[in-house]
Amino acid sequence: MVDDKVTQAKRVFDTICAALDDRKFNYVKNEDELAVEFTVSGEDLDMPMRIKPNMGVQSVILTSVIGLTVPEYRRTDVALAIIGINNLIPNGFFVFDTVGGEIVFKIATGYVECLLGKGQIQSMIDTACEVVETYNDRFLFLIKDMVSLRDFFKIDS
Amino acid sequence: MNKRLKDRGDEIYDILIETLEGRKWHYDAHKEDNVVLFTLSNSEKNYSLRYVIRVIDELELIEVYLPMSFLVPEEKRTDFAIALCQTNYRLVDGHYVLDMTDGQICFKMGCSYHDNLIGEELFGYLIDFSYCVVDAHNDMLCGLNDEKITLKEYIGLLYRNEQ
Repeated sequence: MVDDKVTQAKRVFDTICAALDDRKFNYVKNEDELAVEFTVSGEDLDMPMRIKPNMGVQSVILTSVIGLTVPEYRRTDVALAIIGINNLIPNGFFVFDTVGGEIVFKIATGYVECLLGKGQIQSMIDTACEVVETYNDRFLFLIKDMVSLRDFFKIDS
Repeated sequence: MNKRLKDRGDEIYDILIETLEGRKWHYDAHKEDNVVLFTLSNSEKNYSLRYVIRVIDELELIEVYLPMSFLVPEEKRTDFAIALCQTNYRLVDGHYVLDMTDGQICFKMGCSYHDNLIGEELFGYLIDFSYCVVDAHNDMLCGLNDEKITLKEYIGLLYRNEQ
């Protein structure tokens, strides 16, 4: 059973690499962890991304850390903003460490007994880029007190 | 609606039904919306978990929702926003959402089937995994809502339970 999980995770890892090769992305492979790290350049920001199959839950998980640390005095507003955003995003979600101030976008796809294709990985990356680009500046404005929590949701993307 | 997406959505919905039939569970099927509702009971802890599973054709997405049995009163929603953010941060998959307008908390898992050939095992995983997560947090969230524990204690319990 454990062997099955390892084999399946390696197959998913190969699919991740093939999906990135198709897009001609430069990426760093960690073969021990079966993780891949790369950066996507958006219109006005670079988005670091990490994708890896999680053998325990048999999901492939993409994470993109937002390059902002939320100061302690803004964490309640950011928590409320994230709770609001997560109701609006159909796939993927933001997580927020209210203790350390880190914000991460995360998207997961189960692969239990699945045949996962490159298109799925590319779709996860596209979704992450779209969502992170939409909300990155808003988080910055909120943290710097340039918008109120009420106005946070009114900014045009 | 794109016919290919509609047909694929119907196919995925049929796999969902086969999964529930295979487990011999009772469920309410709403084929017109590709939605299935059912409840699982935890006899030891004397509570039930409601499931809403939806196949969204146009997004090629499966959504699993488990609404919690209580509504968070308005004055406690900020504390819950912080508690749920911290809970979500520590979860491997899935996340809790809170509707700030009515206080409804749901555990939510999404799974895309775009370029992903799935079978009954995936639905089994989504159902079982979400059950385990909610089962692990249900008492703590109820305790926070009933003021049996503070927000600080809730966060402390999250850390302690991981060790």
